[in-house]
Amino acid sequence: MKGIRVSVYFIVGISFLVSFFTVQAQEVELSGEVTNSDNEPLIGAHVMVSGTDKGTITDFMGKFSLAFPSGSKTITVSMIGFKSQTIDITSGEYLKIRLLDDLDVMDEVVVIGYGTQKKEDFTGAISSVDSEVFESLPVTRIDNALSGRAAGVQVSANSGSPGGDVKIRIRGANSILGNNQPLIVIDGVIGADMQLVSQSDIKSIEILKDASATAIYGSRGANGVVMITTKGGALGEVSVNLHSFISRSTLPRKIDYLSAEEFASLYNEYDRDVYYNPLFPYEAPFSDADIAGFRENGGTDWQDEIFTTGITHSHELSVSGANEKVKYAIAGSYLDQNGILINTGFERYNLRSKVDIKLSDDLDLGLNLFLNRLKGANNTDVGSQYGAIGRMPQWVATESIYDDSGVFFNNSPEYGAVTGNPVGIQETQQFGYISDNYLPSLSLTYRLIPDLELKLSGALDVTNRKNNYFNDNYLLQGASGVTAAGLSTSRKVRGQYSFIGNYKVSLGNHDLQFTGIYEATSFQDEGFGANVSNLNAPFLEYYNLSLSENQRASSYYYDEYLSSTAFRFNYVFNYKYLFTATVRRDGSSKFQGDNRFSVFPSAALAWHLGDEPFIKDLGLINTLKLRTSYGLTGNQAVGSYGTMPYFVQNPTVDYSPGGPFSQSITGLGIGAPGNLNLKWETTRQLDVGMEVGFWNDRIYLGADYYEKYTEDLLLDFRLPFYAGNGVIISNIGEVSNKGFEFSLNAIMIDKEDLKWSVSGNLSMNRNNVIDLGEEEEIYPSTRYGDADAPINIIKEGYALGTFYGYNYQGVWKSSEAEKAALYNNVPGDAKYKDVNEDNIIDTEDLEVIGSAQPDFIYGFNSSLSYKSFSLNVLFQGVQGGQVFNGMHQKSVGLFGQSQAFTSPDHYDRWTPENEDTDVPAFSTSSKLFANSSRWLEDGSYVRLKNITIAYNLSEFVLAKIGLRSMQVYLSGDNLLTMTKYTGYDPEASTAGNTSGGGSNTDVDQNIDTGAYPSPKTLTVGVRIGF
Amino acid sequence: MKKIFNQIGVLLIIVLFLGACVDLEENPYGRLNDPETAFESLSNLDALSIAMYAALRGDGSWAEGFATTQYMTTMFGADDLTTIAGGNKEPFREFDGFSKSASNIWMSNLYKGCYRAILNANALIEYAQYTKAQPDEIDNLIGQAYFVRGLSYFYLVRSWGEIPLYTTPGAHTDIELSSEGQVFDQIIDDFLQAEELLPDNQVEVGRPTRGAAKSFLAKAYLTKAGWPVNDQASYRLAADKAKEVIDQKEIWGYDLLNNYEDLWKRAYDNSSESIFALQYDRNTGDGAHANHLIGTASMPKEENGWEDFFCELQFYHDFPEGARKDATFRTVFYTATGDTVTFEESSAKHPYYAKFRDGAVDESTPWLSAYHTAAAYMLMRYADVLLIYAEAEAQASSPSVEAYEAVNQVRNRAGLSDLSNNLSSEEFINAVIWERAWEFAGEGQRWYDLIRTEKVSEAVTRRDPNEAVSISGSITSDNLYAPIPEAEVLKNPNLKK
Repeated sequence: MKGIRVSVYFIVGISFLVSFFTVQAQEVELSGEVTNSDNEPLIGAHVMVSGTDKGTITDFMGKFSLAFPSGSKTITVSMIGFKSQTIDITSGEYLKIRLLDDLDVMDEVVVIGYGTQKKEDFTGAISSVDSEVFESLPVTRIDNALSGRAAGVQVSANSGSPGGDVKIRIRGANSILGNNQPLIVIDGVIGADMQLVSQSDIKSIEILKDASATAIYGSRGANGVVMITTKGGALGEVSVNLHSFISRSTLPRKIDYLSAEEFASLYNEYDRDVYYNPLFPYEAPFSDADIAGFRENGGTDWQDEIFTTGITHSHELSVSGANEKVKYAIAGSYLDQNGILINTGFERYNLRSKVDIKLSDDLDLGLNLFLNRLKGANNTDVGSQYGAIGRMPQWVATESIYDDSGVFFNNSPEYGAVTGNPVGIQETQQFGYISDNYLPSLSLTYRLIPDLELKLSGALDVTNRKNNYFNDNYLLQGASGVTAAGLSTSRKVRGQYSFIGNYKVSLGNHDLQFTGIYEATSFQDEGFGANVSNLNAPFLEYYNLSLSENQRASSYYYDEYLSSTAFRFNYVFNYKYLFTATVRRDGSSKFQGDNRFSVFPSAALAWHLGDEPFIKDLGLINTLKLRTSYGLTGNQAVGSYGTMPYFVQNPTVDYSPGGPFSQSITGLGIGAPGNLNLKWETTRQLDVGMEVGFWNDRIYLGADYYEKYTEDLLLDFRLPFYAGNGVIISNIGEVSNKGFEFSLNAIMIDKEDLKWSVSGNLSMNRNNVIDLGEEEEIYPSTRYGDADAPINIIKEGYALGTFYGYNYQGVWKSSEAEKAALYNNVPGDAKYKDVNEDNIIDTEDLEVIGSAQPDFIYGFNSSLSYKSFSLNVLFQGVQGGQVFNGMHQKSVGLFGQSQAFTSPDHYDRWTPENEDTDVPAFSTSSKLFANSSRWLEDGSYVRLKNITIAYNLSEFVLAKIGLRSMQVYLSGDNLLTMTKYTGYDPEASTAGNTSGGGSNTDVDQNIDTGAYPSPKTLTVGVRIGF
Repeated sequence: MKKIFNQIGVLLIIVLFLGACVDLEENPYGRLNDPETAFESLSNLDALSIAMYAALRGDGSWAEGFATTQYMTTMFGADDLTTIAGGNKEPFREFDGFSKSASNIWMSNLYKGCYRAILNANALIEYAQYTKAQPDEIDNLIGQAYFVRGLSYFYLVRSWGEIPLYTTPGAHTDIELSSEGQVFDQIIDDFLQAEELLPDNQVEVGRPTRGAAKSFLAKAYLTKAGWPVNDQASYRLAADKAKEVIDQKEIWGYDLLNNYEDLWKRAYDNSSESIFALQYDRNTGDGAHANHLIGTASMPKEENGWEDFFCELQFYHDFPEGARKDATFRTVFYTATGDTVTFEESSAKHPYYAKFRDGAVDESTPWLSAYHTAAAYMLMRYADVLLIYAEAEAQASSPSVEAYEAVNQVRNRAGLSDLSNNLSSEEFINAVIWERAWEFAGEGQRWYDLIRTEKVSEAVTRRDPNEAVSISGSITSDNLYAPIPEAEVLKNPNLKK
């Protein structure tokens, strides 16, 4: 009911404004059109009757008509980026006005929340990514293409799998529990999927960073906002564009593992060191003949078996155009991507239509339609620690892929329990999905008076998804294997309904703009699934689930609602002094009582110092803008129903009390109590920024400093095992992010034939956990790499992503035998820091051993064009921050479920003759911890993210073959990575996987226990305009 | 035309705007959040009991409950359990060698399974008040909850000593450790409640009966009488309770099987000798409900096994010859090349248990064995009741005729003659404790017998010096219990011993 009351206030407010500004006098009609120097119509130019507050803006065709009080003599026509003109109207004739470019002005318009604004009038911190980026290289995922492009934006490809997820952090991570991904807004639709947009669709991408820019999104703005605007039709001839490319992806590098022969010999040494007892006859596990056999036959190179060359092709076709009444753009694309891990793939079909209709002078109708279909094959969670890559380091080269009976080899007699044959996992654990997403949005814009615009828009975002799986465990595990299959579908519906009022007014030197918003959103997710096991026949897969021994059905329902009002006020005085204030009030169904509604205000000030005479007179600086902002934003990092207690319902709580042959009964286990006092996480952000342009803005510098404090953090408090290990979500704690951002754009050469521009950015963010309530530290539940304790810690005074464990000190040397004995160790055993000096290495010796947070991140881009050729180079880098190399830990082996090892490290193990080493001897008294600093590596890297060479056919040739434009290009991704990291890819992380214990938070990051590396890719592409 | 558009437009905007008010109430359809409504139905209360058994059973990721060898981690100090010197068995070796760490990965399995069972049992006992059904149906479930809680604390207190003890729902995050005496009082109270509430017959074999409650009650008394609580008076209670079971065994249909060997066959799962067993199934494709102790885990390297556990050499040598020894051990292994290898020549140089093979192993090709089966796993069998009675009776007064009769029943079935009938009390008790060792070898019992009878150092002294796993820790009474898992102490520092 609160919604209605709010809307009534709003209507009353609007009516008041309307009546205020529509007081009429005796009037005369005038009409005309405004064009630029090329005679192209200018849309949105201001036409003001001099000395009055009467005015209008030009329409789609650059035309205007205006009623003005009789007696007025002149009008003023102005537009951003053009020199204003004052024109005599006494004749009353139809006016043809041509505006000249104003070279002094950065004539950019930026898309901001619920509107657009002149960049120079914008008070907030924003990064714009030019559409040129998407027009110059092949892009399979838009989010990945943002990497290295914008200051303050860290983009990490956690998974290089086809269609794999990309992690984006804007100015660090605010939330411990929540997802820190920014809010995605596509053509005004909040929360839309970036996969709906293919690269040629993009007109612009704006990244809103500070509170002034994001507070208009209130409870969803804290992580920053990525605004994507798609291309519409433009006046002129029908334009048809085709873009196709094909690429070839390979493993970035191979890791050095022991060959079969090497392993057999080394394992003999291990066995002798451990088992040899002079009282018993001793026989080496591998005979000389075995080893000779391995030398001859080579054994299995598991890397070669599971990795392959992936071919990707992509095709995009678009048609666009416009006439006086209608503008349209229709585009379709197809992407078929094959991964570098066998049996992984992804397909995407996109179709989009954007139509804008001018119903009358005052009324516009827009229909924006997105349709897409995503098809995945084994591409999600494929980088989890239990996936093929994660299992591989435990698989020694002496193992064959299949055993004698044709079953995947899955149990090694020589090295104890080994499961998860990497090839077997990829061949037998089949998972696929088809996801259909359609997103229609409709908007109706009414200009009540020229400067008062009312816009009503609605969007419906529907995703229907089908998942299927079939686990041919009989083939994978032999006698123990029980086949399993399942099918599930889900239907997610997101509704968004917005009402936006926008009023602009200029009063002499005062430019004011008011925006009012009411918005309601809803989200429902429902689905069902059927899982069966012990199929009557494996070839039935998931197509006939009833022919199976055990069947289980499940269904779920989930909903959430948000009701919001927001206002924004912009004020510009004398083009120099800018002020913006926004406020949003969000009500969420996720919270109860007083916590249901929250208010998120912000304010910003900016000063065009460069326009002050004392700077202007220097003649060096032509832009100098100072700005500052402060405000609150929120993050509802919690799902619905968090205020209620819950029960556990999954196969782990099922049981068959009727005995071995009975069906299992569905159990209902105790989860954890709910928390009625849940509320939003709130982020306070201060931003101070500066923009400087030299020499006609050919060199343009930006710098920002920010401080963010996120309070009332929603934290999972995981109960101890004795209390059921359930999770209670509570508002405890505070996290801060502080940092600097620098960006530079420079036009180095700007000649007819030769153009060269460079841009670079550098950002440093310092993340710090300030407060955890009653706790000083919290241990995440995720376990990696055979450890029973977490490798990460959330600790006051430390950043998220801090590593925690035993501090590895190398090995005990012979000279330290006496000291080693205190720990029941002998020389050659692993040595750990005894933090509390009690001569026992135990929990009390756990300490902070590193951090995943980088010191700074940077990107550097160079665009060079000479005549018809262009060369684009993008470097992207991360400096500092460690990576937990779980692949290395597993390859060193002798651990967990694996007695095997595959790492050549053991050659360098301690022996009395080889004291100077960090690799422990083969010894049963040596302790091996997975949560130890031994496995942390420097994750710094600098990477040639992309290099593209393009050739544009000359107009002469184009005219002959009848094309408007044509470009061919050759492009390479990740061709070069300079890093000390010894795994496949310092950027990939297992942490983003939901299976195998990975989480989507920033608590665990830079964890490589079998993450899917980003491939090295070579691409050939062509762009044709008809 | 233009005017009409405008009018319609304005009207639409106003109408739609007014219609857009959103209701902020969430609708948790399909979710059970409120115990008061959730447990009105008996089926949901029953589903809660299912979760409690599932917790004990354990899971397929080998991280919880009784489903894997790991559940015996804290018991490796006994002479019926040891492991290989290398490989991934370090967590077992830590206990085998009396040098255990709080970060031991595998000991938590038993801890987690028992506590999750307790969590659900506590809830069942509390929430049953909301259930609308026949009183005897509700009582049956409450009785099961008391039984499972008692059983869980019984395992916990014997492996860890002082532990967090709680009996109500809710998050007990700041709880302190309770003494062994307090825990035993709770265990006995729970079994007494179970005895009162459980029926004599259950439709499903996996549910405990009144007979099961009495049997565990007897065992809890017996244990309480020994180290560390040393409540001597409990011997009498143990003897009397065991006697009740023996005297009324027909009510529950308990009896020894004729052949010891049959106990380990799938055809005899849940036989007359089984008093309470965890039920396993292979209903899930990943073996999540299956028993992973049977099969590969208990098999030698030569037969492609994982070599998890076997008995110490001295234990094997002391084991009296006969049908029981033959059924207990496997001493000759088959290799994939078709050869046979005696255990002395084998990689681990130890005999392996033969008890845990049927259903997982095709004995003609043992190297192709399965690593999980649906075998029921007995936590209490009738032979145990007989031996509890014999020992407790002798402790409480003297070895009576009935006490001899009870132990001799077990011996005769094992292929052994009667005990000589002129033993002193102490000799008789020792004989019964040895009898328990042979009878329950490898079944997760021996360690608990050794600690309660304070015979750990005796067992260690007898140990063959050539055992692969060396003893590095001290054999003192302060080093018998397992440490509280490190992750728990980190979350609740009150649990630090």
